[in-house]
Amino acid sequence: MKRAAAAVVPLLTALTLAGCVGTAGGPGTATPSSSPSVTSTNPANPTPPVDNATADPVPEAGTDSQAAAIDTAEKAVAAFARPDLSYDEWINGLYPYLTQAGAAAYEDTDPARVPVRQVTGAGTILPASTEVALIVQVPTDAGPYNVSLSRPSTEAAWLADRIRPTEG
Amino acid sequence: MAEGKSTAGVLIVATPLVVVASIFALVLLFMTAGGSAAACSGGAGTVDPAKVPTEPVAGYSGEQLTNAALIMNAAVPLGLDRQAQVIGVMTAMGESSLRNIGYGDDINGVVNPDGTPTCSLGLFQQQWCLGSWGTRDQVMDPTYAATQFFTRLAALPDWQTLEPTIAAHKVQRNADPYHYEKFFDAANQVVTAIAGDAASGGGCAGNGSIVYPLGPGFNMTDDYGPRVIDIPGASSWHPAVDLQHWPNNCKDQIYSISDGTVTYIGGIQLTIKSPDGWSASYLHMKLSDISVAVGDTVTAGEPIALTGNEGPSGGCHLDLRINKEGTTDPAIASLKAGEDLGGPSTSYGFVNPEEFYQAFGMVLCQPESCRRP
Repeated sequence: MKRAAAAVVPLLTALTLAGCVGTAGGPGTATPSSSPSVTSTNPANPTPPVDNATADPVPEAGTDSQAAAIDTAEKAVAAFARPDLSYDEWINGLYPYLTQAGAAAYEDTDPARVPVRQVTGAGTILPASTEVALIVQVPTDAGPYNVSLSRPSTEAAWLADRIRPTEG
Repeated sequence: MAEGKSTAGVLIVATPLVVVASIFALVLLFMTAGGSAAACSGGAGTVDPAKVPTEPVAGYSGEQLTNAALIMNAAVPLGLDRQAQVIGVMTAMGESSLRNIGYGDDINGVVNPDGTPTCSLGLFQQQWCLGSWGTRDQVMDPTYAATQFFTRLAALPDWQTLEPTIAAHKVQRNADPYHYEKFFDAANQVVTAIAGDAASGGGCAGNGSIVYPLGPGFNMTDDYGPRVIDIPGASSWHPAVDLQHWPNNCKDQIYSISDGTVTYIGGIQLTIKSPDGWSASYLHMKLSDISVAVGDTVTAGEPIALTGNEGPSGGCHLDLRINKEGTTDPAIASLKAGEDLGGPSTSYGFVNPEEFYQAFGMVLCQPESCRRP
C-alpha cells in the first residue's frame, strides 16, 4: 500500500483544492478500512421503502442462437487444445474465438501447460442461457470444459470470454 | 473553472489545472479500475516464520504456514505491499498448496512443444530447466522462488489494478488464467493471521472480482427471505436485499458488482450475467437512468444506472437480487435459493445476497457502516 498511499495523499489534497472531493466515491472496495468512521453515524430513514417488486425472467436463447453458440464453443476448445503448437501458432488459432477480455487473459497462457488434447463429444447449453450471454459445456479428454460466450447483439458472432475446466 | 478571471490568472492557474486534471483522471482510473483491484490494508512488515499460528488457518497449517511467512517476507525487501503478499501466497496455494514440492506437472505427462518433460518445482512450480527462473536448488528455496515471483509481478506495470488471478497468471503463464481466483480468500486469511493485525483492520476487502453495488456508507432497509408486511397484496417473501444511502437515496450511482454481459433491460430492471453463469438484477430504476445497453460488456465497479423509485416501491432504493441458476462456481451453486427455503416460485434460483458476498470473503452490510432493517 505504500505506493498507493503516497499517491492518494497529494491526490486528495488536489481534489480538495479543486472542490471535487464530494464527487468521489466509487465502488465500495475502493476504500477498505478508511471509510467507516464517517458512516457509523449514518442517519436512519424514518420510513424505509416498501418493496414488492418481482423480477422479470430473462428470456432463454433461441434454438438457432444455442446451435451457433455450441458450434463456436466446440471450435474454441479445439483451438485451445493444441499444446503441440508454438505459442504464436496457438494464440493466433485461438484469437478468432475470443472476446477482447478473453484475448487479454489467454495471451499469457503457455500452451504447453494446456492439459486438453481433443474435444470428445457435443457441447451442451447450461441453464439460464440468454441471447447475448451463455455457457456451453464441452466434453474433452481432460474432462468437461465450460466456455462462457457473449456477443454484443443477436446479429453478432458468439465469442469466448473464458474456457475453463469444470474442476478449475 | 477560470471564468471571470484575468488572462494572467488563467495562465497561472493553467499549470496546476493540468496537474489536477491528470490527477483527476487518475482518480477516475482508480474508481473504474478499483473494481478489479483487491483493496488491501495493513502493513507488509517482516514476520517470524518460526512463530506462525499453531492452529490451521483456512485449512493450511504447519509447514504450509511457515512457507506463507517466507513468501510474505520475500516481498519486503522489494518494497512491495500487502496486496503483493496476498497474491504471492494465493499463487503458491494454487501451484503447490504451499508445500515445497520436489516434483511438478511432468509427472502428469506435461511436456514442452519439443516433447521434453517440463521441470516445474517448488512452491511456485518454476521451470528451473528453462534457465531464467534459477537453478534446481534455487527454485526449491522458498525465499529465492518467492523473490523471483515478486520481481516479475512488480515488473508488470498494471499489476495492482489487475484482478489478482490475472496478475498471478501473467507471471506464471498457467493454462487457466482464473485458476488462482478461488485461493484469494484463503490467502488473505493466512496473511492476516500471520501478520496478526486483524484487530487493527489488516486484510483485503475481497478479491476484486466482486464489488459493492453502491458507494460506501449505504444502509440495508430490507433483507432476504420471509417477512411480515401489513400492506394488502404485498409479497411476504423478499428474494433480494434493499439498499440505499440516507439521505440522498435518489439518483445514486449504481455499480456493476462483477464483470459480465448486460442480458436484460425492461420495466424497472437491469440484469447482468457473470461469466461464471449467475446473474445479478438491479431494480426500481427509470429506464432513462440506465447507462448501459443489452449486449454491453461491463466490468466490476463500472457505473451502470442511478437509483430510482419505479414500480411497487416506497422510496428510492436499489433492490439487488442474485440468481444462481446456470452458475459454474461451486461456491455459489452450493448456496441455498428460494426453493430450498420455502419461498414462492418468484424466488426460485435467488440466493441471499449477504451469503453471496460471504462466499467471496466480503460483508455486504458492514456493522460499522451499515444499518440493518
